[in-house]
Amino acid sequence: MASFILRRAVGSVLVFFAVAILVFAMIHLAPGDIAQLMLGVNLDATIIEELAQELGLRRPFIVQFGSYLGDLLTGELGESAFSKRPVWEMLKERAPVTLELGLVTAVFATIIALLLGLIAAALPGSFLDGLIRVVTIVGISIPNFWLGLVLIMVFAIYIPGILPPGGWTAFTQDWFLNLKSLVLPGLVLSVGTIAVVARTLRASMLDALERDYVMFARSMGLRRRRVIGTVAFPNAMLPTTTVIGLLVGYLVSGSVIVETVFTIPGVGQLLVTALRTQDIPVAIGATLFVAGLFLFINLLVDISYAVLNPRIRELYLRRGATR
Amino acid sequence: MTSTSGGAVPIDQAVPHRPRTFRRSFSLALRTLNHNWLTRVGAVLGFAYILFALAGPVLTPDPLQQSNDILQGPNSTYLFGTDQLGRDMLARAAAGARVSLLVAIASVIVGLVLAVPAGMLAGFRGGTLLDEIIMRSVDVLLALPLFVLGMFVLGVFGTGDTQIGFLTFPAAWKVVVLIAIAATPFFARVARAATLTEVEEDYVDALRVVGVPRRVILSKEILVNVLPPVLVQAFLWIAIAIFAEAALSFLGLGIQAPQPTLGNILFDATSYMFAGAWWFSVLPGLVLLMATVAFNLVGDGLNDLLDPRLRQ
Repeated sequence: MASFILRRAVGSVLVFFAVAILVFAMIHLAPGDIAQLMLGVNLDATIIEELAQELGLRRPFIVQFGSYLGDLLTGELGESAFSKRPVWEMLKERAPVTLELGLVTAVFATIIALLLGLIAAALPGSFLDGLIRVVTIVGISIPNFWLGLVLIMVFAIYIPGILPPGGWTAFTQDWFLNLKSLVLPGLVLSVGTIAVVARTLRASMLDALERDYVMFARSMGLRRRRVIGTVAFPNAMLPTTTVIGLLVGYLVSGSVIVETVFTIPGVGQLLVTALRTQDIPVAIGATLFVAGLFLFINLLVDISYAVLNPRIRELYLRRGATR
Repeated sequence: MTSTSGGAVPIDQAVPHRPRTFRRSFSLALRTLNHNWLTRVGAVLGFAYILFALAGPVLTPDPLQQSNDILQGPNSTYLFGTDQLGRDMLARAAAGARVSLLVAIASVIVGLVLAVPAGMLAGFRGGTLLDEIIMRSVDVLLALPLFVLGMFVLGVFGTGDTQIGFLTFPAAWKVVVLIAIAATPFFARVARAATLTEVEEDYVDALRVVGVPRRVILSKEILVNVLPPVLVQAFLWIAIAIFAEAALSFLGLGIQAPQPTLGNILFDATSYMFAGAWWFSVLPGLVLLMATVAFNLVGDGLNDLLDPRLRQ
C-alpha cells in the first residue's frame, strides 16, 4: 500500500513539473516580446527594454529556464506586473476563498447526488425517476456561467434581499453572511456534478440489483428497502466513487468560471483577470496553483479509492506479496 | 480467376462473414429514435439548432448593424430584443450559434483525426511498447487540468490572430485546436478499446491469411467497425465543445467582438443585467442550452444503444 501511495505521489509531482515546463514553453513560444505584450504595443522602447531587463528576459534561454525552475522549487513566484505585490502573497490571500467554495460544494453536491440517485434507482420507471432523469440531463447540459447570470438577475432584481447576488464576505468577518454568499455560487458549481453523479449511481444501482447476491439476500427474506440500502448501495458506490473523483477536475475549472461570474475574490478570478490584463507573473502563479490543486485532489481521490475499495486494496496486497 | 497470383483473391470470397456493424447500428439508431422519447426530443432540438445556425444568419439582418433602438425588449420587430448598440439580438444569436456549431464540429473533427489513428494503432499493436507509449501519453493528458491550461495558452498568445512562422492562426482556430487536444484522450481510448476487441474477430485473421496488408485491414475493415463507438463520443464532445467555446469567449479569452458568439454576447449582457435587460442574457443562453441538451440527449441515446447490456 505504501509503495502504491509513494508511486502515485511521485507521478503527481512529475506531472506538476510537466505542467510547469509547459507553462514556461508557452510563454516563450508566444509570438512577440513578453515585455511588450505586458505593456501594450505603443510604448516607448526604453520602457519595454527596462521591464525586459527586470524580468531577466535578455538572458540566454537555458539560464532563464534554470532560474525559473529554481524559483519554483524555492516558492519564489515573482511579483505582479501592475500592483508590484508578490504573487505568493496574492495567492495566499485568495486560496482560502477558493478552497472553501470548492470543499463546501463538493460535500453538498455529493449528498444531493446520492439522494437523487438512490430515489431514482429505488423507483425505476416511476414518474419521479423520469423527472430526475430529465432534470439531470438538463443539469449536465446547462452552461454554468449562464445559470449564474440568470440566478444573479433573479436574486438581484426580482426577489432582492434574500441572498447576495455576488461578492464575498469572509467567514472570519461574518459567518452567516459568508454562508449566504456561498449559496448561489455553490449551487451553480454543483449542478453539473450532481447530475453526473446521480446518473452514475442510478445506473450502477440498477446494475447491482440484477446481481445474484441481491437475489440471494431477497430470498433470505430481507426486505427490498434493506437490500437496496445494505447490499446494492455499497456495491454501486464503487463505480460512483470513480466518477466523483473524475469530477474534481470539473470543480476546479468550474470554480474559475463561477468566481468570475459572482465576483468572488478567489484564485480563479485572479487567474482570469491576470490573463485578460496580460499580467504574466500572476497568470503563471495562479495557473500553477490551480494545476497543483487539481493534481493534489486527484492524488487524494486515487489513494482513498484504493484504501476504500477492498478489491483494489487486495490487488495491491497480493502484488506486494508476490514481489 | 486463379488464386495463384498471390493474395489477389477477392475479399468477398475469402471472408464470407464480414460483419457490417456500421450499417446494423445505423438501423438500430433509427429504432432507438422511435423507442426513446428523450432521444427523439434531442434529435428535434438538434435539428432546430442546426437550422437556426445555418439559416438564421441568412434570414436575419446584419448582426453588426447598429440602430437607435437601444436595449429594447422582445417585440414584433426584434423578436429577441436589441443590445446596448441597438443591434438585433436574434441576428446576433443566430450568428453566434453558427460560430458555436462550426467551432464544435471543427474541433471534434480535428480531435478525431489526431486520436483515432493513434488509438487504433495502439489497439492493433496491443501490449507492445508502441501501445504503452501512446496510452501513457493519453494518461498524462488526462491528468492535466486542460481547461485552465487552455485559458493560459489563449491568454499568453493573445486573442487576436497568431503568426507562427508563415502560418496565421485566426483566433477561432486556436480555440478549435485547444478543444481538439482536450478531446483526444477520450477518442483515443475508445478507438483503442474497440480495436482491441475487433482484432480478435475471425475476419481479421482470415484477411491476414489471404495476404491483405495490415495497413489495409486497419484502414478499411477495422476502421468501419471502430467508428460507431467513436462517433458516440464525438456527439457527446460536440456538446462539450459548444460549452467550452462559449465559456472561453465569456471569460474574454476566446473569439472576440465584433464577431458575435454566444459566449461573448453573454459577457456583454453582464453589464446590463442589473438594468433589467433580461432578454439580453436569457435568450442567447437558451439557444446555447438548446444546443448542449440536444447533443447530450442524442449522444446519450446512441450510447445506450451500443451498450451490449442494454441492447436486448
